[in-house]
Amino acid sequence: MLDEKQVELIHHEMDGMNSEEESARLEELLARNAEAKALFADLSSLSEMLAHIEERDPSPNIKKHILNAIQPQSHSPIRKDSFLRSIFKKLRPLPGLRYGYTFAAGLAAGLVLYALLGNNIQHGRPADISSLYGSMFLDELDESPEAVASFQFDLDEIEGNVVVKNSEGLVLVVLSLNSSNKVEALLEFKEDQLSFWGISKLDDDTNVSMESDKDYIRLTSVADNKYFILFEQQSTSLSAMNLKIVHSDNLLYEKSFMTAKKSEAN
Amino acid sequence: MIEQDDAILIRQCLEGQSKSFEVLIDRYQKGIYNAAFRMLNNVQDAEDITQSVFIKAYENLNSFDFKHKFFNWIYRMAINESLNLMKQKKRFAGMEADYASTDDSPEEMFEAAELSERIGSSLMCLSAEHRILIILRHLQDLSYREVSYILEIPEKTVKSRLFTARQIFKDVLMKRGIVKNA
Repeated sequence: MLDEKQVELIHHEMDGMNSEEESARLEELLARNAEAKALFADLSSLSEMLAHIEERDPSPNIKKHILNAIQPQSHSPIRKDSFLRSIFKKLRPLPGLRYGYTFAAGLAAGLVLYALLGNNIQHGRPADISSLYGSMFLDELDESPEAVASFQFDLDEIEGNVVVKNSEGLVLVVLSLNSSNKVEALLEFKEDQLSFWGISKLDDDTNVSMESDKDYIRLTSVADNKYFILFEQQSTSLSAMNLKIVHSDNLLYEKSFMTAKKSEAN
Repeated sequence: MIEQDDAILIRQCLEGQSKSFEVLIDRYQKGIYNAAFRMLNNVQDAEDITQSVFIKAYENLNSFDFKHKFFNWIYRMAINESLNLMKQKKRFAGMEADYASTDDSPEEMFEAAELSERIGSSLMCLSAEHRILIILRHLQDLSYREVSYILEIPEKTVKSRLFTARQIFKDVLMKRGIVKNA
């Protein structure tokens, strides 16, 4: 039976970690110990086998996608417009103007309510966000502008999807959650990239609680609903977000996604 | 020298020269992709992980610690992301069960596969913690110290797990008729 030191000597030889003296000691061991010799032969054969594994070439699209996702003029903040002015200014180019203006008007109303009622939300404590809904979103906004990111998740008893839209620095995340269980959706972001502005939901009857801080929003809900969450992009560099779906303290799903295309981050 | 170059490229990137990040992508995307692919055995997942890792790296360049190598830093992200994905897809349990029930003949299981792919796919019979060790040490040729940094475990643990992983993997390859007993 080989002792721990002898086994280590053999493995270290495979890894090129032995000194000349240790290699000489191993040679002696191999010459007189059949078990050591067999292990060394096995590991050598294994090492040789592993050398047969060929590297695969990644798709050229990977680099293209990464470069599309990141912004060339990185890590420099952009000048911020005044609050309401920037909303109207930024929504103006949307193809569906009437939706955009309704959205902005509703958003402004929602944000006033948010400012008045949502202090406890800002400090990371759970809160009822039902007072923040109203007309600050329109479902038809899904139709324009073009989605920056869009994906679905289909877990055991929870399914949903995310659509992200961006118009000149305003980022709308539309999150659909369908579950009969209590499920938590955590959106993480960097405060130097995105600033949370407001949230609304499609079904006012659903019981939802939310907590948020400068770098995350956590929604805890039961039943089906659709959430419209608005952010302002804080810098011209890449802006990204991470979504986690948690059920009973178990992380069921996690995905990072972009909130701006290269051209939109300019 | 490469590490020094990496540091220069990262600094250039932080100064707004995004072309420098392209060089880093070119330099390391293959390694990250292959590590993720061998962890997950799924092309699409490996591509997603690779993209996500570089995006996160770019996003977090400000917090990069220049004491470490860039590629070790992104490998750490890739491994963590791969593990998270595996947990989400609950592949882990399935794979271990797969290992326990590999009674099919090698011919049935790998008839059309090349040796490289037979060995690569056999990696999936290992538990995640053992598979990572084989990938990082043998396929990525990283040192114990580098693996220790990437996996955030002591070097001593790296060694003991690696030794165990090799033994188990050897048994898997033998069971699948890929290697014969010495």
